Amino acid sequence: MAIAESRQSKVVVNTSSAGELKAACDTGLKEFLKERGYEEMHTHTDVKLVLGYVGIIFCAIDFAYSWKYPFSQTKWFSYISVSVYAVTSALALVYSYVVQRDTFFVGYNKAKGHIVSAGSRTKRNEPTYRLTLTTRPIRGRQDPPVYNSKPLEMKQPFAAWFHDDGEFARQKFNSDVDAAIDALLAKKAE
Amino acid sequence: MEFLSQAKKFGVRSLLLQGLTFLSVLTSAFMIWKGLSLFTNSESPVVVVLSGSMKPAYDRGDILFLHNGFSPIEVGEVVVYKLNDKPIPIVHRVMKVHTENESGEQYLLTKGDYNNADDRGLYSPGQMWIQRDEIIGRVKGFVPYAGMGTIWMNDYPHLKLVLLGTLCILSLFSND
Repeated sequence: MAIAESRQSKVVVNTSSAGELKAACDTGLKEFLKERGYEEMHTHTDVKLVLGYVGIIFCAIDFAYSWKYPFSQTKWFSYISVSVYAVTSALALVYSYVVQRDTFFVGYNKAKGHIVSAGSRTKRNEPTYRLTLTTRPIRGRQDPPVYNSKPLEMKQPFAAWFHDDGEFARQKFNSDVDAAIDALLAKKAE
Repeated sequence: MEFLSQAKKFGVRSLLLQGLTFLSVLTSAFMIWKGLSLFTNSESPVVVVLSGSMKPAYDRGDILFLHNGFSPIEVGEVVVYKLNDKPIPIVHRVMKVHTENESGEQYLLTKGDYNNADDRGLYSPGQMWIQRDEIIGRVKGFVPYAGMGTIWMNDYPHLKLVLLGTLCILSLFSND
């Protein structure tokens, strides 16, 4: 339902904000891939949520404990909770920078047996959308051929997909992305 | 119920993510405070001076940075201590120290520089000395009068509401 609604609704952004332009393109790509049968995999988000909330739970328990009982009595638990918090925060940061990087969408296509991962970035003061697409087979599936997993990079200036007034030209965007995905999946057969 | 409709639209995950962003701010502040507290071995490593009993060195409104550690207290050190049944910490100088030979247990007598008499009048009835474990920390640094805001907000509670209100209004006008 949500996909049908957004297809009909106009997306208008502030063309001088690189953040908004990138966000509109990211969302557009997500919706396009979902329509093409890729179900979203939330692994990256889940890892960060778990790490974050473990830290928060320890913090909450420590807060309650040290509120009720004096410092000298609760010190031992505070050592534990501060260490846990520091470790989980550091892990979440490392995960974000090393594993996730620019990825904003990971989707799996059960029918075709592969996973597509999309990442994007913009350079400062350069209104260009740099999209990186990678694909890998779903673990355990033997039928897809072995992949050449070099990423496919596509870059286009934002002007290609946005009207002057900031309206997102969804059709053009979808057809460009479509071509990119086809090229990505064609590469794999090498 | 605004977030039930958001939950239906974007999923529980997005709610959890927003919660995480918000809670991270609070928990990281608390954890930094706790970390400092553990490092200094002090239940409150930053305190505000409430009276003028340590003039001319420290005056009402000064912020003090404390470090307790584990070493024995020496005469002449300015310490902050909290008596077991009183909620308010006191910052005074150590005048006398007695150390028990076998256990190393310390007995301390304190006095404010600006006071005429020692602190025995402030201690609990019958208490002549304070112990090492009643010391919250020794003063290692200070910022003069930086804590006056905290004192005003305690003396005039409606100032807290004024501050909160101003912050809310300012956040409404900011771009993000």
